[in-house]
Amino acid sequence: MGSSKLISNRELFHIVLMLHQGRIFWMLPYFIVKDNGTSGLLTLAPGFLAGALIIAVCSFWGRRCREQGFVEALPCLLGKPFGKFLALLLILFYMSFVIVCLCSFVEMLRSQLLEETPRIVLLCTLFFLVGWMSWNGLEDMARFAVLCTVVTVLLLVLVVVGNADVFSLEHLLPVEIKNPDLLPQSVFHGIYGYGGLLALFMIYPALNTRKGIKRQLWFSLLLSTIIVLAWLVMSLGVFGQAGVGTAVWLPLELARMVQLGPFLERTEALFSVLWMVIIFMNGSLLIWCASQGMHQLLEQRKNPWIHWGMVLLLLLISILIKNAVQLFQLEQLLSVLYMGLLPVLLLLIAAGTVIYNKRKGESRQ
Amino acid sequence: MTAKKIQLAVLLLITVLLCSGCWDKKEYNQLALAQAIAIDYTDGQYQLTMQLIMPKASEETVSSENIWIIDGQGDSVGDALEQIALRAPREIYLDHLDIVLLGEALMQQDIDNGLEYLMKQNVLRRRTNLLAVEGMAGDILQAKPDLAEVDIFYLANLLKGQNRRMKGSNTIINDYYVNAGTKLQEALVIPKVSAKDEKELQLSGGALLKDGVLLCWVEPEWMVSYRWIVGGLELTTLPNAGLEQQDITMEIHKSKCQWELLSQEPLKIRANIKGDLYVVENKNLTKAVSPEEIESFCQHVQQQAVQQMKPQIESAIALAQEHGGDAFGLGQWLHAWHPELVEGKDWPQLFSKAEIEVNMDTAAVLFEYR
Repeated sequence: MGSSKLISNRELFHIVLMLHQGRIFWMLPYFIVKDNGTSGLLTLAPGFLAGALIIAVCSFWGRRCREQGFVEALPCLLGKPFGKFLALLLILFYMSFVIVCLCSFVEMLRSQLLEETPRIVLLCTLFFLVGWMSWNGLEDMARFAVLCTVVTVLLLVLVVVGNADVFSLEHLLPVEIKNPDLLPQSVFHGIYGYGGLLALFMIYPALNTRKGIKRQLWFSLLLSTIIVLAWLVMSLGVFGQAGVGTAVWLPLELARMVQLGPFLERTEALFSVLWMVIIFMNGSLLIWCASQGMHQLLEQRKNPWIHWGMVLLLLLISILIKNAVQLFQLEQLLSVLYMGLLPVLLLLIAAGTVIYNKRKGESRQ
Repeated sequence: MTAKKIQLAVLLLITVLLCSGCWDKKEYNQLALAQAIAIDYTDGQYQLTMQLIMPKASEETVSSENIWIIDGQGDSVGDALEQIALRAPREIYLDHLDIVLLGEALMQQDIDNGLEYLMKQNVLRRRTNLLAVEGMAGDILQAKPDLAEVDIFYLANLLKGQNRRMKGSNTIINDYYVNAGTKLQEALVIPKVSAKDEKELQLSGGALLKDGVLLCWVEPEWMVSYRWIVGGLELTTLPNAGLEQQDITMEIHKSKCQWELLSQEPLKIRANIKGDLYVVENKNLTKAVSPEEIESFCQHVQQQAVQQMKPQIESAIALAQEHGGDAFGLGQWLHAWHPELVEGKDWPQLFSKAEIEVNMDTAAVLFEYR
């Protein structure tokens, strides 16, 4: 599917940043801080650890199984029936990430900026374009990811500087857990927010060099977490711990409040346009992962029916989600499923890699 | 390669056709841009008054011919807006709304009833300015000031000018929502606008609100003291502050007050107010004098400033305590740093009984030496 070993470490660094930033950016602040205010920030820590674990396991597998794609390798690691089942599960996860990522952006766009535009038009446009981008291979997306990071950081700087006059540290205090019963939910959302990193398993084989990559990826993860933390702190500092529950799309509300002297205000349209670029990139990456996985599962090479069939299926499922409430319910369900399956998945991959490596060593002897 | 080019061309064509902007397009000459909106409440009905600009595509400037003032009434704000929309010759476009004027009757009821619909419709940005009006807010928009050729920008420019001179003097919708979100029942100060004989608009004084309901009106002098506590920039003239009782004008740069908890039971707080006084007009007293004399002059001015301002600030705090309306952010500070003192307690009651002493730390310097 238009892929070769042409992804550099630097590009993967930026891809990891985008996979975390772009996937659940619009909804994550609301889920994390609305019930527990500043103490909700602590729920990023388990998510960060989960992300670090994914990177570690991916790197562990990638160093020992260089010759295959991940889905191709799974039957070798875990046996044919179980390996294929797990591969299918992973592909389904990628597909769910695509739906959540693109649908959250569409919901934000529809409710805040493009109220008259039919939902199906937005969805078709988005899916068509990301389908095309992913069809052309990983290299273009990887190169583009480098630019997207610059955009992400610029947007954050714009929002911080533009809201500096209304930001107050006192709004973040005190740090107390108001609703302990709702804390696990925030943890699930936080961990699910890092779920896009599972795409590393598909992207890793395309790396042209793996030297020092683990440390770079951890650093990328840390940087991305800091950026998300900055968004959350800004939301809390500007709107207050009680006020964050009054707006669903907190990053957009922050963008709407940006005012830099008399010459820069009402920047939400610019913000949305720039962020659309990131959404396209993110969606394309995840569709590429799902499509590549399906190709490997069915032992095919660049089959348009598989690729476009998958895009069409994702589009149809997205159309079934009628509004933001249904999307949030879906995201909540997926976050719980993800929490249950992620540790099992990583454990199986790690164990399977060890056993596979041992067998490989024995067969060489 | 050709096949790929054709595919790309088709893709671009489809994308253009599905160009989402078409459904949500806003033609400039079909819009009525609302600059300001006034919300009143009379006889159980909400009244909205709007100042609308209806530009023509060919014109580069706005003249009085493009401006229309329209009002509507209804059982709710949404109803009143609907009434206006049914009569307006163009699509009402509220995204450029700068100012919301709140009438006295609405403030006596609850301003949340006036703002809720507009907020949920994403009409109001959280940076939209709030202004209070004693009487009917719609009268301000109906006024025909002599000083401005085009009425519609007068109020907005008045507000911008004040913010430039007195930074942090405006109240925006975000302030209201932050205030309303806490359980402290703190008070909100909204600057007041009034029309002098319908010929001139003036920003002077303010309204003190608690839980969205009007507590009392406050005088301009109270607002000066209030800004000493919340911080900002201001130009003020101290009468008889010079060495020989001359009036001295100063540009005062005030930092936000630093609260200090002296005791918990009874609640005793010290307000440490810091400000830099830049002496602007001093009747040329500092011309051709030695640096030591200038320093002596500045020290005198500083002492006079403290002597004159401290009682005023204490009086402003006392007025707020009388109404149980903490407009100074003290409750928020305590909630942030000493939550055990306010959590689950009646803060307005605590505030009204608290002992608050004022400590001023100011430094006077000539404006030209700043």
